[in-house]
Amino acid sequence: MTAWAPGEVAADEARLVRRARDGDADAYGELVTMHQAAAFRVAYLLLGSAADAEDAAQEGFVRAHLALDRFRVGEPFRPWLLAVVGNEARNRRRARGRREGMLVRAMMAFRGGAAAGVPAAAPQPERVALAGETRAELREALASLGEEERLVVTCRYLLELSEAETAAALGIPLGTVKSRLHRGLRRLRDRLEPTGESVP
Amino acid sequence: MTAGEQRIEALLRSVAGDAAWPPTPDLRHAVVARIGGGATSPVPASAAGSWARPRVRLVRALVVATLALLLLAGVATALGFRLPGLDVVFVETLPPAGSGLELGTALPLAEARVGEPPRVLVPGSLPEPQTAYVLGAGDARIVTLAWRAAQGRPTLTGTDLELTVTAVEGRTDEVFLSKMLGPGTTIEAVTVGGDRGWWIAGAPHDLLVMRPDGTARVLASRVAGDTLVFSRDGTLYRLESALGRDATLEVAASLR
Repeated sequence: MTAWAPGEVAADEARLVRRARDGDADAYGELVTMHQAAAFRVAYLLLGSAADAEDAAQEGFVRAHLALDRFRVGEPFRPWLLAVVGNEARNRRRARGRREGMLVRAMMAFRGGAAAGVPAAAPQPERVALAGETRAELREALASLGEEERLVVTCRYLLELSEAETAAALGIPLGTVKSRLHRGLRRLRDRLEPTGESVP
Repeated sequence: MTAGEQRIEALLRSVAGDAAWPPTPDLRHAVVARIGGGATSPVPASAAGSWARPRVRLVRALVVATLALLLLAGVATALGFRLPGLDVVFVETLPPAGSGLELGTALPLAEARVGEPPRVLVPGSLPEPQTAYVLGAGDARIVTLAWRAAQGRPTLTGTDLELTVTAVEGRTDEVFLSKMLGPGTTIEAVTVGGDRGWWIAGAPHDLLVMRPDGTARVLASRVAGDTLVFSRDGTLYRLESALGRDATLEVAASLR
């Protein structure tokens, strides 16, 4: 997944947005093709399920289309889109979280996969994404971060989003992204290079 | 940023290309199909022109958006994978499969039908079931009727049965049953005598039961085959069937 680039691509994107606003569904389809990987992966990161992420990303694209008149043509489309998709994914996560966790715990408890009443730990999406990576230490270090820092670090470095896109996707201010990135990197350094100054 | 943090940043960037995310689905077709019908499309920009046009356009856009949202909400309500007492949860991988049928204690049909809940219905289009089972007690009572397959007829996996009809109390304010569907399992909206339901087919799925006190517990865990579920008058009916979709719907329509 490549970062959004200015110039010719941006001009094409602006033309597509204008055509989509004028009711050209195919033009919007082009925008979907351009950005579906980023949208899907952000949703996957937040939901941890490819099926749920597909639904959320699709719904996000439809909602973004309904709101297209509010998008300022000329600005990068991807951060705006990721804000819509991220919001949709977070809403879905809140709605399903408690209930699905209870069901999975019940199933695992019944099957002996986990003690009754103890939440069964679902694999974190970024751990799954790095499953083939030989540097297990990095994977474990990333997993040791708190969720807020882990999401920011993953968006920024594994999804290769800009800081602005990370903020939009996670629905947090840019300053929060910067501070969480800073803390996250320090914690990762402390874990991987323990001779440095530790994070309080 | 310290040198150590820069090294970590470089390390993260270096592994980004190796990250194995799930394949991105092609969303274009579905999205274009959903927005291409006109009702959800924005008002064409050509509608703007005179001083009054922007306002007209805004009102029209609001009306269209409102109608679209109402439509989406209605569709979501109508097609959402929920029934009283049932919720569908898609999961990436199924837990290890259970073994054998655990339908409960075998009882004569007349005895199984005594004592609601649940209200047990029997298909008029079939002979009486060979066996009736009762699992649990009180408002967690689950009744299952079972039909043995005739020689040469398809059977439910690992059994000599071709059909089971399970009845369990379903309430509007609680989730009672839950299906855990893995990859390869499909779900289709159907109606049975005007009651909406779902035909779940394809790869096997598992069954979870939610207790009335709100806790989740697996009362009957097994790999299930193609299944029809629908809700009627506060009872959730589940037909696990080797008969195929259409024949199973016919059986369900004859429940009395």
